[in-house]
Parts: sequence; structure tokens; C-alpha cells
Amino acid sequence: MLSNKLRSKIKLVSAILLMSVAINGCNSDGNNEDKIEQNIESNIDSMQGTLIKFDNTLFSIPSPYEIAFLVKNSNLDFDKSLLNPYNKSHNYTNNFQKALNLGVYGANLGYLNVFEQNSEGIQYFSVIKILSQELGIENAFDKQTITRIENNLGNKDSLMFIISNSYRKADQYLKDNNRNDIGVLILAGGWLESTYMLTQLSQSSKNKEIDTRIGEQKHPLDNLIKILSPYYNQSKEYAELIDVLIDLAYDFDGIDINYTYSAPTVDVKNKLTVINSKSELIMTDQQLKTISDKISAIRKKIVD
Amino acid sequence: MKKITTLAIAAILALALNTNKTIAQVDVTTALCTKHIISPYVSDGQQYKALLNSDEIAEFHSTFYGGTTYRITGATGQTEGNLIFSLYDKERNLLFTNRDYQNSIYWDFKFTSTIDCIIEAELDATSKAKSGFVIMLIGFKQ
Repeated sequence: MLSNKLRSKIKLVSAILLMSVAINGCNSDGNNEDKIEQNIESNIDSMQGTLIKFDNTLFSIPSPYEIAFLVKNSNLDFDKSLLNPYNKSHNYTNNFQKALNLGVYGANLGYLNVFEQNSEGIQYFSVIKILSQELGIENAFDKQTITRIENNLGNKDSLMFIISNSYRKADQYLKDNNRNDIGVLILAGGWLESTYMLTQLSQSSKNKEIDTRIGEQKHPLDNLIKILSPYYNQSKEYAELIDVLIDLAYDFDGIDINYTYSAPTVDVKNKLTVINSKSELIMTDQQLKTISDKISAIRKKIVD
Repeated sequence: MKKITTLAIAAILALALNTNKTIAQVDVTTALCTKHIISPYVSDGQQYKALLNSDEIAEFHSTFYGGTTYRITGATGQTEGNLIFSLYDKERNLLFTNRDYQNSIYWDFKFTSTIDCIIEAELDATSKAKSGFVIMLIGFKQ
């Protein structure tokens, strides 16, 4: 039987805890960020607050939208057969599949957008919205963003800006809420789909610039593996994905990239530096074919 | 018992207030960066965040495509100019540092060839911050 004094203390501490939860529920930007990402170690000092140590080496993956622009600028025609059909989204039943294909559909939407295929784009955007909701990142595609997208359907530049920014917000939200295991899958899906599109275009167009872009995925793939690796033991699906990407990386390792440094030139007034250093890619047709076949197989497993 | 309860309450409140303050600060820092990734620049869809002490450096590894112009923006704290970022190639040749340009919050880079780069970010030693979240964003020109 608790004494009245102890009961009062428990009530007071409970009230303080509830107040703390309420304080953390408030956020000036309206985002639902209620946790700080914890990666390696934490050290709590009641006098100085919380100090959390992060891994300070970060890896970036080129945006699928960049690839879409590069394809458009190569004067290739739009090819609808490259896309993952939007009505397949019902097949994706767990978060692993949904997150990967959110990345895939994002890459598809970028491709549709640069080729101004607006009616198809609407369908893909609808699927992206649904997958975002199912993954709990609907904040990235909030009502305001949806309205902006609908109002800019005929303006490909604005649309690309809004969609890319939404994916950035989703990335931010997932990292801030300790859900980077989902964020890395979205990145992986986007990279795989855009690289798949390049391999298909390479076969159909015999465009050397496209071939070079494929070879240039050597180090982005290394970065992608580094980003995914911390989640290897998360599930069998993560392990299988990382294993096939590592196998693919062995084929990319055979590609030579010869780098020559040249001093950059600076335009201070326009805050612009021109990087004059050069890279020369050396890749055989056989290497290209092996890489293309493996990417197709990986992509098939993700979207089917 | 009374002293322990008081200390526990103070610690819980300090933790809660500090967490909320940190989230708000990161939002401000992010806003400093996002206002520079504007048309014709498009976000690469990622946000790069690190927590640094005054003597630490964060590294961001990225590939930049030839023929494309990029904008790199980085900030820490609540005002511009507290973050130093530098761009190196894989051979560690220094390609750019904003330290030479009053710690400019952003800079544009035009790549004539596809290059793998390392971006290093560190707190400006002359600023008052002993530690802080660093936010970096990358955009490419449409």
C-alpha cells in the first residue's frame, strides 16, 4: 500500500513527464519530428543536455531526375516500355517492397516529367502518394504540395522542382525519425530504376553517351552499398539486396576510370567554379552487357 | 528522497526542452539551405546531416556528372557563414573552399567531366559554436 506522500510524488513526476511529451510534440515548422536520429552512441549529461554522436561520413547517390535530364538531352525518344506499370503497386505488400518501388516510381515520374507526359504522370503521382501514405511519410506529399503539383502539371521545370523537393523532405523525415532503413530503400529503388532505364536505352539506341553514363555508376553503386550495409542483418530481404548489389559491383570494378587533375577556374562574381579535371572511362562491350543483364535481373525481382 | 525526485524532474525537463530546442534549430538550419536550392536548381532528393564538435570534420562522398552545374549549400546554427565546406577530388586535390569567400553559404560548380568528389564540412573556429548540426544540400541545374 503506497503512502500518500509517495502517491503524490508519483503523480507529480507523471505530470512532468506528460508535460515533456507535450513540449516535444510542438514543432515550429509543423513537421512531426519527435525523435533525434541515434546512430552510434549517446551520452547524457543532465547539466549540458544530450550529446549524440553521428557517423560523420555520408554518401550521396545521383538523383534519378538527373538521369532523366541526361536522357532527354541525348535526343532520345520517349519510351513508355521502360516504365514499371503503375497498376503493379498493389503487388507491393510489405514496407521493403513499398519503399523500393517508391524509389522506382519516383524515377519513372522524373522520366515522364522531362518528356512532358502529363496524363501518365498523374497516374504515377497517384501511386507515389498512396505508397507514401502507406509508409507513413505523407508529410512529404502534404495537401499544399499536392495542390502545387496539380497547379503545375503543365510546367515541367516547376514540377521537377516540387517533386525532387518532396523526396528530399521524405529523406529528411525518415532520417529524423530513425527510419533510415526505409529511406535507403527509396534511394536504392530510384538508383536501380534509373540505371535500368539507361541499360535499356543503351541496347536500343547504341548511344555512346548513355553507355558512358552506365559506366559512371561505378562509384555511386559503391556509395549505395555503403548506405545499405548497416541494415544487412535487418532482414533476409535486405541481405539479398545487398548481396546482389555487391555481386554487381564486382563487374563494375572491371571498368577503368582514368582521372587527370586540372586546376579549376573561378568566377567569383557569379559564385561559380568550373571543374576542369577530366575522367576517361574505359569499358568493354562485354562488361556493359554483363552489367546490363544483372541490372535487369535485379530490377525484375524488385518490381515483379 | 526529496533531493533525488527534484533532480530527476529537473533532468527530465532539461532533456525534453533540449530535444525540442535541437529539432527547432535543425529546422532553422535546414531553412537556411533550402532557400538557396531554388529554380533553376533541383534538389538531388537527399538531405545530408551530421553533428560536429569544433574539432571534427564531416565527409560527404558524391559523384558529379560532366556537363552539369551543381549548387552545394551548407549551414550550421541559425545564421549563415558559420560553416566551412571544401570540395576535394579523390586524389585530395582541393578544388574549392568557401573559407576563401567569407564562408559563403552556397557555391555553384560546373563539371566538364564526371568526377567523384569528397566534400568536407567543419565548423568555423571563429564562430561561438562548440558543436552543432551541419546540414548540406545539393541541387543540380535543369
